[in-house]
Amino acid sequence: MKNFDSLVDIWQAQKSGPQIDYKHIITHFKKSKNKFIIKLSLGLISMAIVLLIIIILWLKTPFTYSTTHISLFIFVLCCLYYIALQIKNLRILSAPFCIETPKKHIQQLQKFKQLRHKQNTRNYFFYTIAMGLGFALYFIEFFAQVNGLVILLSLAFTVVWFTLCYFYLQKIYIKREDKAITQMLEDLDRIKNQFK
Amino acid sequence: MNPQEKVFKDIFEANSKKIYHLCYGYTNDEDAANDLLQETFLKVWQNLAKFREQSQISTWIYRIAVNTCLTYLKKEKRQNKEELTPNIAESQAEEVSDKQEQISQLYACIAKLEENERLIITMVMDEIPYPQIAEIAGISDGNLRVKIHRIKQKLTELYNQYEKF
Repeated sequence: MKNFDSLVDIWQAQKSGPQIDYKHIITHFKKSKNKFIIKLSLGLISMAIVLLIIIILWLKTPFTYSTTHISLFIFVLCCLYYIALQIKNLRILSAPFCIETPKKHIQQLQKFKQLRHKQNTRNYFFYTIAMGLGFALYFIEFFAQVNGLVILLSLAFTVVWFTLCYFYLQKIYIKREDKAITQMLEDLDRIKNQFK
Repeated sequence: MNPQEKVFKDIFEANSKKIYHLCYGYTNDEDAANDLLQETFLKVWQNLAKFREQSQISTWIYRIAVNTCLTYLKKEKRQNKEELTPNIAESQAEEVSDKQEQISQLYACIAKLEENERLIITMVMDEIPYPQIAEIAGISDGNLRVKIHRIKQKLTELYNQYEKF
């Protein structure tokens, strides 16, 4: 039978230590920082280019239908939403929230996870609807200028694509996300309660 | 080596072993402990300029390590939480010396504690002063003492159960 002091002796006799050194950490930081910045920058630049193309198309093409103008306005809003979302998430992730007390840290983590969940499910749903509406309105003028076959193919592709996204892919995704977030929030709640 | 790297080197050398033990005690997995240690010190490096000396640097690093460990748990969903049976502990220890066997048994017992208990007890065994542990864990001194008393008993019982086999 051992008492706690004997366990402390065992603990302090251990010689094992980390298998990494400070140089490894600095190198890793520099590499991962660059990777992260490149990834984020590419996402933002791509969306900015798309936004620019839409605006140029809008300004340079003499659209006659008001529905086309509404559709382009919707597309611009969707692009701006995406850019704003990326910047917002980056700012949250950059904040040094890991130095708070464990309880507060977990609360912040839960809040961030809930926000991400909302972005990935509810907001994504509205984003898809807005894009669908944008395409539908854009097609009104587009269809007036093309032949029957192009209309049929465009309609078929769009309907199939949106149906697949909305009724299949999105439902599976939301279901999986719901399950994951519920489990995660339960876990975090349980741990948070340990720090009372 | 620039001045910031020099400061970081000193901080790493002074704290990394204890932080590694904290991470190892939390995960009971060598690779995961190294990953958590790396993640902790990445955050230390990243936030070093923001450290305001309102507390000891070791308290600040421990706070980051504790939060990093808690976040790791969320990612892993405790899929690796080992319910080590005495047989498994025995088979793992066969190849190592008596001392190492005792250490791995101790880690196996720590792995059976609640998450906050694992973190607190590793700090106790590394002889971190109680007020500092209370500050790291964000709980009152009195509350901490009650918890420590309970965890000590629990861990000793678990260890003695292992020793019977």
